[in-house]
Amino acid sequence: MSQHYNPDQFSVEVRAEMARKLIKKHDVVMVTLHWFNALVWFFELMTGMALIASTRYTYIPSWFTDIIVGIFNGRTNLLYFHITIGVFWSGILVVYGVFGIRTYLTKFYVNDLRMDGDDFKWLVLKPLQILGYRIRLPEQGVYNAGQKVFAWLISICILLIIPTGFIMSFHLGPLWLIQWSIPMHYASVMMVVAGLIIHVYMAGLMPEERPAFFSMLHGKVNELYAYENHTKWWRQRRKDEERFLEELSQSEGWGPLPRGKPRNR
Amino acid sequence: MANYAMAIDLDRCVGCGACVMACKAEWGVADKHRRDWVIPIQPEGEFPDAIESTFYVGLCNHCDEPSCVSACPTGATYKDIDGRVLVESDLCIGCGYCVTACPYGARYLNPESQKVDKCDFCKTRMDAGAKEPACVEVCISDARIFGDLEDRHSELWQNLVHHDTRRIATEEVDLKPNVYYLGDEHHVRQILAHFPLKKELTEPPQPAQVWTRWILPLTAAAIGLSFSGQALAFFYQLYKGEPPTEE
Repeated sequence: MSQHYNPDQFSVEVRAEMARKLIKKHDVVMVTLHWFNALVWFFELMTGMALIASTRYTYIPSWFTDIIVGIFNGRTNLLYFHITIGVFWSGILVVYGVFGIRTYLTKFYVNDLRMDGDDFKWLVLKPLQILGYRIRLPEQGVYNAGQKVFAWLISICILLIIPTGFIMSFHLGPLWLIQWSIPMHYASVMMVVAGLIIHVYMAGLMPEERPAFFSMLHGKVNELYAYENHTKWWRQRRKDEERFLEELSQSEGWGPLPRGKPRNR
Repeated sequence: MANYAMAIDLDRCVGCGACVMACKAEWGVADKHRRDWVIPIQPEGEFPDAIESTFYVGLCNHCDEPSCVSACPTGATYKDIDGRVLVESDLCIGCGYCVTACPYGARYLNPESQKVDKCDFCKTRMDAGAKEPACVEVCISDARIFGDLEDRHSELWQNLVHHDTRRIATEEVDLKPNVYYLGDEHHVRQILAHFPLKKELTEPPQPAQVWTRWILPLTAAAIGLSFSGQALAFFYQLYKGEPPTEE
């Protein structure tokens, strides 16, 4: 049973209606970026792990490294592939950052990812709930606290990964900077991997999160899921919609329409 | 498959430095850098007692247990099938970990290519048909002897078998170098007194040490913790069974 379900609030019919109604959660560009990132991370992680040749710096077994090096027919190709994909990825992120600064970047980091008191409570209670305790979790916004922490972790790590990657690949800066870049690149990638394991499990395997997984394919979630898992967002969205309809009903004749249909969050 | 090595007869060396010049000319070694060296060691003792002097004639020792190879994160530095320690330039990112980890100071960062450079026993020359490296060819006193340890008839092998030889190694640091020193035993002792071999000279620089000692175990612990957490949740999910997803 989902965590926010309040049996008194909605009738069975209303709930069934909400479960049928799909509402937009992710824009097409963000769905695309997500899967593009996933693909890049897969290739960069595989090639990057195989690039570390000395057992002094890695626990990756040599048979794995040998397989990847074999696929690429040598370490040099592997390195060039890793760098090329990395540069291309950075370029795409910059394009998103520059052109989406108003529509996505600022909104995402300033509004959607802001942590509040409920989020910290959620972080403590959620693991207990996963382990079977019957707990009512604090209401969450468009992203839950776990997603927010992961988004912050990955964002900070990417801000380390890309510059250190460029420093190493193109020998930028003094020697000490290049020498520190290698372990920093490694450390930030590994921190993302630690988070990625949970991200993949939650999205891919947890039954409660199925709608979230499919929302990363078609961008939509059903309204009941939105209500139960992202109540603050659902409430805000409903309020925006009502305001829009009210403004629309007040406008008469011809002239400018009220300020667009509210965005998805 | 060969096992290339070099012997240097310190009794014969006159310190002319022709070998260093030949090497620089052959490889276009940048100013203030060198792939091999001849360093005069000042006389020791007081007249009329023993006065000893020698030259520290050195180059990459092409060690059998090279500290530079394990220090190199990308695998650019490797030991080839013929016993030479080489640098694959395309793979070198110029981090200089190996430069710090070589206790002999046999490596340098080429300021032009920004990659590591070192003696490779003139591999390219030899591949093109030369019999010996440039430094050996020009030595006026035949102090340098180059050869293959697998070849029992080689001049090198004969010299090593019939004379006392020493290597620049100590109990503390023995990387199994492949450069052998002939001549008075005192010469190598003098060289070691002036250029002591210490364990810390085989270590890569601080960032690499932080990586090995802290970053590697801590990130592994984070990944382990995260993996165990989701595994636990998954086992519980299996045990509990799934609720119907349709509302």
